[in-house]
Amino acid sequence: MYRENKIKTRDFGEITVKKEDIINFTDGMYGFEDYKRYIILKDAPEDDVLFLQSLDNMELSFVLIDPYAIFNDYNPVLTEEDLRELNTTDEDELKYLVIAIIKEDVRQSVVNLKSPVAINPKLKTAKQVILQNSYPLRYSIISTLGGQ
Amino acid sequence: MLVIKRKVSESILIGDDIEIIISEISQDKVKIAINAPREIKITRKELAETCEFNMLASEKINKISIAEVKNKLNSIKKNK
Repeated sequence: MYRENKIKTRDFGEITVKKEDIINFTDGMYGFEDYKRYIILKDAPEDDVLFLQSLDNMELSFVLIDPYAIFNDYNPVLTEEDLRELNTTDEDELKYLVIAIIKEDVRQSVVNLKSPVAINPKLKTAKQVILQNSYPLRYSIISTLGGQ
Repeated sequence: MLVIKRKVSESILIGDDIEIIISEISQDKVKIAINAPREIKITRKELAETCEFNMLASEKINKISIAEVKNKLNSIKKNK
């Protein structure tokens, strides 16, 4: 295995991947089960918008948003099976990011609060989990952005 | 839409070979057992919707729109 590697991505051009930054999704993302290894990219440390770039498919990336930037009371409840797969018993030990569909007209953008990416930061493993909470799968971010 | 009331251990049939049995009811959950031929795909709806959402989310990103969202969120954070 390499320690550091350069890859050429569709959306971010050439990026350098450090081995310790690789996140392993044991089941992949829903609909993209073949691709297990990802890296999270961020333009600036203070950003709440991040990117999930596949390391197995250079054409595959997702836009992620820190859910707490748009939904203060986000309080994910996972199934016991999901917690076990992420090697924890406590939801608070995990980090959550939600997938966004950003439209050209940004007021039509939505995030999926129901099925976030849950990351175990210590083990660098992750899973897209379907929460027990009754959060909406398509949550409009227009009110957050202050649009009409 | 057809709406039917059922009790625990009662079932409904869809066609000739799909049986849906109500196996347990608690305050806000119902446990369902399904007997169906192997070729019938059974999926939780939110799972199928998540797949569909991911498909749309994986389309080539629009950098201008993303920058707009990012700047808005950053400015909200500063004003908090």
